[in-house]
Amino acid sequence: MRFQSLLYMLFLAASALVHARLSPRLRTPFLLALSWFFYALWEPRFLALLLAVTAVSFALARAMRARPERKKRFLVLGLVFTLGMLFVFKYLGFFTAGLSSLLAACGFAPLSLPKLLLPAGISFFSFAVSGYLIDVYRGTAEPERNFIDYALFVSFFPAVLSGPIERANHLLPQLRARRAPDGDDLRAGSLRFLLGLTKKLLIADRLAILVNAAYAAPETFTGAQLLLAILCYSVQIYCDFSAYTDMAVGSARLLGVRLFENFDAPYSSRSVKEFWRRWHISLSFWFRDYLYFPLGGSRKGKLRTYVNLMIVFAVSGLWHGAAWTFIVWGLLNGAYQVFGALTLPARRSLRASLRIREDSRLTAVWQTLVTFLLTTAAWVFFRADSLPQALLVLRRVVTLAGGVFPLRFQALGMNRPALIFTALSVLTLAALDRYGQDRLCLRLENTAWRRWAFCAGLVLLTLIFGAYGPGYNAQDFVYFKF
Amino acid sequence: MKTKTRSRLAALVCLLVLAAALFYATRVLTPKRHDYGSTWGQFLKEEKNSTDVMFFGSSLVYCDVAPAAIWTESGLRSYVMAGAEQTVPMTYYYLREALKTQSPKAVFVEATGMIYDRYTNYTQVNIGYMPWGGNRLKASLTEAEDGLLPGFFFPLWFYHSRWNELTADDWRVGLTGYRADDLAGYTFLHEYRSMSGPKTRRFTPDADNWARNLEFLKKIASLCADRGIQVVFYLAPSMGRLPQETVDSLKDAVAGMDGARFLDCNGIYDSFGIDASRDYFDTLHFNVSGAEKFSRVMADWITENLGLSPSPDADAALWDKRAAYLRAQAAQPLTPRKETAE
Repeated sequence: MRFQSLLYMLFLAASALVHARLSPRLRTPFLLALSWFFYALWEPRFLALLLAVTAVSFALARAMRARPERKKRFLVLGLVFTLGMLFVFKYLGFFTAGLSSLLAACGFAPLSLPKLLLPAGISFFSFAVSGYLIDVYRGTAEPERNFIDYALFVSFFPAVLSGPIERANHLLPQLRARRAPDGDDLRAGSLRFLLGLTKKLLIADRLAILVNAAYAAPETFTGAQLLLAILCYSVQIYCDFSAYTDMAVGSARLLGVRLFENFDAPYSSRSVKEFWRRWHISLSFWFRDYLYFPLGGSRKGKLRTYVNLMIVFAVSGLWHGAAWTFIVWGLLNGAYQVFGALTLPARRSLRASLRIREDSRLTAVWQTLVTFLLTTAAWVFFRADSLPQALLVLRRVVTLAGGVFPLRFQALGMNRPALIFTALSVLTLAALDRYGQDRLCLRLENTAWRRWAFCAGLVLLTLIFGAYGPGYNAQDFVYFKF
Repeated sequence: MKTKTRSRLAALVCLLVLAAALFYATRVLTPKRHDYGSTWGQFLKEEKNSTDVMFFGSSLVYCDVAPAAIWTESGLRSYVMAGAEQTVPMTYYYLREALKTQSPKAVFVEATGMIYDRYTNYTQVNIGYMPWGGNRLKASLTEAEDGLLPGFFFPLWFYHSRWNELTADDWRVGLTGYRADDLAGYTFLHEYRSMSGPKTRRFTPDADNWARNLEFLKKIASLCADRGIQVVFYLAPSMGRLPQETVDSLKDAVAGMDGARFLDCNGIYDSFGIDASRDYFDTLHFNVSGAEKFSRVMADWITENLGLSPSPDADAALWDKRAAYLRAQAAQPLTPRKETAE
């Protein structure tokens, strides 16, 4: 049941309606039943895995409280179990393939393993559970007493498949409160969901046509065409993932729950470091709190800080997918930051010598542009099917292979009107990002006419210009595969 | 309270505006249907109860039957309400829908649809252009593949992506509606292909499908009998003919239906004066020359066998204009089709 499907919208509306009318004590069991049902629709057999992770982590957290002298052992056990599941399903094949190549090179018979299906959302719920266990170990979160509340924390359907990765201290108190949504929740939740749906169908899935065409056979496109494709991918992945977050946050709000925000206008960042504070915030903060800080963060000298950064980003890349392309993408993002930190004094002096102020508009525009281009180059590795393909795309772009003119962007599967309309949509989105989505929602919440007119306009735009129907392949959210 | 009322009023007004915008967007974005069957928009512009004879079926009808030629020959007003690869159940729903606005004295159903599969390549067109109502709903639920259903209830699902290829005709028809069809449902084909002789059409027999189609053939006969309409199930003349045993089965089945007649036009083929080297568009369909000849013979057959005579209420001016239009089109020289081999 995709978020953008009519079925999900009916499911959500019915769930919100029933949930609001239930007595408080029934709300959590009701939401849990819905969440398990929702998860089982994706792959029923993996519901058992979700239940196992939930039960084991619940019991181990309780044990940490009951036997504080052995809490480290319980933590290790919990992390081995939770992250072990993640390893088995997501990384075993990757590492086995690597080991096999090594064995083959040494003249040994290669290993063979059956290919395992990746359980939906495993990267997300295993991180939420690991974070909870670490919080309990550290004493920053209380072990949950009520299994139903805890199970809902792990499998809450708006967030179970692709986050945001929730923290126990943030979500559990809300679930315990068993609050029914009020009018503000319903208005804000619907609006947020609609905004996400529009972003997905109007921009992300339309750009996907162009990007998919380019990456299907990059050798057949010119450097200029590929440049457009990689720029479009930067926008596509942002619209896709932030649309998912909008729909997840909107869905949860309709049930009276507020989830973490995952994005804060990331492409207006002036450095890659800032970008990572604004992009997939719940994951960035997870890595900061549970990996970067324990590694020593920036407290152990510059060299160690840079090493820690590279470790964190390599792991972050690996978290996204078991492939070298993701690892390189992660390392590249880490390297950008290390390079940025190393060259910061020199860049500042250069600006000072050119009499360009640090807070000037020119500096801001330049830094934003450079940051966007750097992240765009990194996304090439993220999107490519293999490292050679990523390098081929970058090489063709950098050398402007095949010349620039004629542009023939239509070859990428999008005619001129569609291209112009998509460009206008992207500019509107950029303006919306600049204005602030929250600010817009707040303004609309207070004025019925404006709100209804805005929503009606979005629905009309989406139904006419959106990428849906028999001519399109419904695109899963990019982050679903993680 | 005042705020709540204002909010409700805002919701109501905005939803009404949205509904109106979607209604017009659907009309503009849906491809316009002026020929090749399923021309419901034009059909509904016909004056009510103004046809004497109606023709239903597949492309073998809208390519072969020219109502203007029937008028010239017999003074009878006819209309073709066919659809590409129209199945027999679809014909039934078409007939029911057509009878809402017309009360013909005779109905002709081209029966090659008996061998069509339940789902054809044109289900979307055949159902999607039907007027909203019970017949469209029943056809959508029973005659369409599951994947098409959303589009029958919400046509933008099929056609919204046409926004970047709209023509002036899309805007004109979308905003102001269709006009009546000068060809009364006939589709004009101007190319020719030389034919060497008739061949037997190949198809995979499906007993269940045949039985289902027969059931709907009976429903058609029964509906016509109830309305006092003479019904003729016929097989269009063509170079791709059904096997004789299939024709015989069909003939026997129709013989058992109260008041229904059967006419195998291939049996009286020689009377049409067809020139096999110039009158065919392809193996199955006539071009305008062949269609004119066939239609004139059909007009005579109707007059002689069904006893129909011209209606005194006929809008002669309109039909003379239609006949003149067909003549003008037919007067243009035929052109050979690119693939000349049969």
